[in-house]
Amino acid sequence: MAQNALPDWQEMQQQLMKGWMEAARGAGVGDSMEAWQRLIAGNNAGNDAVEKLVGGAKQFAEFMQGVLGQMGGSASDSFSPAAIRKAVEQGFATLAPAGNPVLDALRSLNHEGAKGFESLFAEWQKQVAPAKQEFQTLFSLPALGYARESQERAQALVLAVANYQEQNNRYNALMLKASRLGLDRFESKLAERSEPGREIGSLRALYDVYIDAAEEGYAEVALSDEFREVYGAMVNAQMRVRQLVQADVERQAAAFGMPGRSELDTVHQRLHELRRRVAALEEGAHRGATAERASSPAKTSPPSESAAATSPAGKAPAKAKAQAKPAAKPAAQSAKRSK
Amino acid sequence: MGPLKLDPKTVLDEAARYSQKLTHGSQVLRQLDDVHYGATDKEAVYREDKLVLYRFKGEQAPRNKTPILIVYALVNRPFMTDLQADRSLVRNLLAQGEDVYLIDWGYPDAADRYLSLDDYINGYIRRCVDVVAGRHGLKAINILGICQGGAFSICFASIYPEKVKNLITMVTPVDFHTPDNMLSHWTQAMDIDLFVDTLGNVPGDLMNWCYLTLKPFRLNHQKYVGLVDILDDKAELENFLRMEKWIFDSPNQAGQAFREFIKDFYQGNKLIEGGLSIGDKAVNPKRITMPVLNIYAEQDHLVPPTASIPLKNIVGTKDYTVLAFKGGHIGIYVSGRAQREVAPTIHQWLSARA
Repeated sequence: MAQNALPDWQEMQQQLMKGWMEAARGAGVGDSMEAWQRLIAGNNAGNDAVEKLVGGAKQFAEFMQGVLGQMGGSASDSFSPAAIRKAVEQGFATLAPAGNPVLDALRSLNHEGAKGFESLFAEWQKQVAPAKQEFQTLFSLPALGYARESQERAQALVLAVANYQEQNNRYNALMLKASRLGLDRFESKLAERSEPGREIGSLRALYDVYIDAAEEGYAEVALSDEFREVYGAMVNAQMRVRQLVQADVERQAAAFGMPGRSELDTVHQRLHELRRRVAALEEGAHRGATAERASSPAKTSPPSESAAATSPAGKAPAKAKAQAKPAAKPAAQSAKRSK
Repeated sequence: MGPLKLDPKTVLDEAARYSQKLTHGSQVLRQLDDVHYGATDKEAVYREDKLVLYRFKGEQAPRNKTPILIVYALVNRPFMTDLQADRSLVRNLLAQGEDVYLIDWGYPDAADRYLSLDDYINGYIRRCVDVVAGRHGLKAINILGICQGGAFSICFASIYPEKVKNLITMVTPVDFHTPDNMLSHWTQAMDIDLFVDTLGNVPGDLMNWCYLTLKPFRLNHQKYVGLVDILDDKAELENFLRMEKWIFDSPNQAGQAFREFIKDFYQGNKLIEGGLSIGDKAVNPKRITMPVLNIYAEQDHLVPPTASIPLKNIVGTKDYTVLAFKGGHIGIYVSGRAQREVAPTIHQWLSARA
């Protein structure tokens, strides 16, 4: 692991300690915590493992910042579940601009190796921005004359985008509901822990209680009938937008004599169907030959249990023979990623 | 009294420990090499398109004469079964005397968009089974189907019962309409034709994101906060990173197969409701009369136990065994308990039915 990809941990530690001490003394969350966060943000570029690690540390520190900043230096046992909830809520209101921890959590899932609908749509929008601008220009013209069909397509796209935004808003609203439910659960769990002997004795334990509550709130929404409908509508709406733009990009590509996705799909589909037909024909021929040998009195070899047992059905004879031999390439090479 | 029992000194001590871990972690991270998975030596014995059929090499000759073919899911890579030397279902099975084969599906690309379940089950799996059986001069072999690969194996054993001596399913969904199945819940209102027609193949990154959103706080926040706890332990950190590498190494899904799987299994729930066909072959699980061992994980958030348990009700066998593993969807391969319990159970069960 390259050293220059790593953050300055020593400096981070000092900033973290200073920030936490300030917060614990009741002096409020000072500049040091923000400086520590800036260090995290600025030092992890290009290393996914480090990025996730410092992201987790940052998230935990932010949580603590929210709690300690609100509580100051008072004795912790004087805080009610509602006061702690408020402290966390206010902490997240600062950290997540939308004040929606669930939505924030879902957005933070987008990184190398995981990309959600919102992220995919945002990336894809960058690519199609020129086409979108053209559509918007056409949309302002009357649907007459030679541009009539183009304008109708543009209108359909604008409507589809508007519908997607509406569905996305409904989805985000449900995530806000999940956030509030999570905080409700958090407060309830804190109330349960107010019994003597069950108090929370560390910041980490408090954080874990918050995570449990947040997951429960999210799961309640995510398993609801309403979420099922909204999720499906959001995904379907985005797919309709993508499909309309893809079709237009194809039309533009065709104007320049370039093959589009549909043409490639047709080729792949025909090739696939052809392979299936050849495989079926080969298998039929193999079965016929096997049956003929079995019925011939001159042949003494026992019939195979099935055609496929002696020759992989659907494969060319050459490949069927090859199966008896080790594959040409060693295992190490065969594991080579082909995507 | 309130729920917190904290004082400034406790908080500062905790902060000090946390930041010390971060500091030590920086030293450990500098010592780490790239991590890899797939620990056990193996040879490729058959190839077709992007598929490779492997046979694993044990330190001793197999004692069980009937080999096991592992049929893994199309999502993620099959090497969760052989993540590292001390966390390997494959290695443990070999140590027990089993002969283990595995299908590596590879990474589908746009040219594979029209691969259907017919191609996977009646094509690839059938030919792999025939290759393995042919190498050993057998008519039937043992099949170990995992997750989606378990559902494929149920279909295969229904269509070709004569080719399966014993069927083992691990963390396999059968009933897709249980109320706790979040993934299934989300697919019900999706227009899958529109989805696949638009995307073509389904991106692996999107699949990963969907899995992470099953538990977004735990899988993206708490997990990495917990990572600080092991930062000063090189071996544990490497284990963590190896798992991370596996989690985010997800092949794209062939569009047509994805379409059929979501429509017939997730939406149609046809293993339970009936009416399932793979290509032109009807799937009737009552034809599964060979012995069946169903292993599910009690804390599985991807395939809830309620989704796996109903297998017993749909198969025709009179020899049905179930193992409820105390762990999750991944822990069933990599936890210490898994190393002690899963492979020995499979081996003993198979030995009694050799």
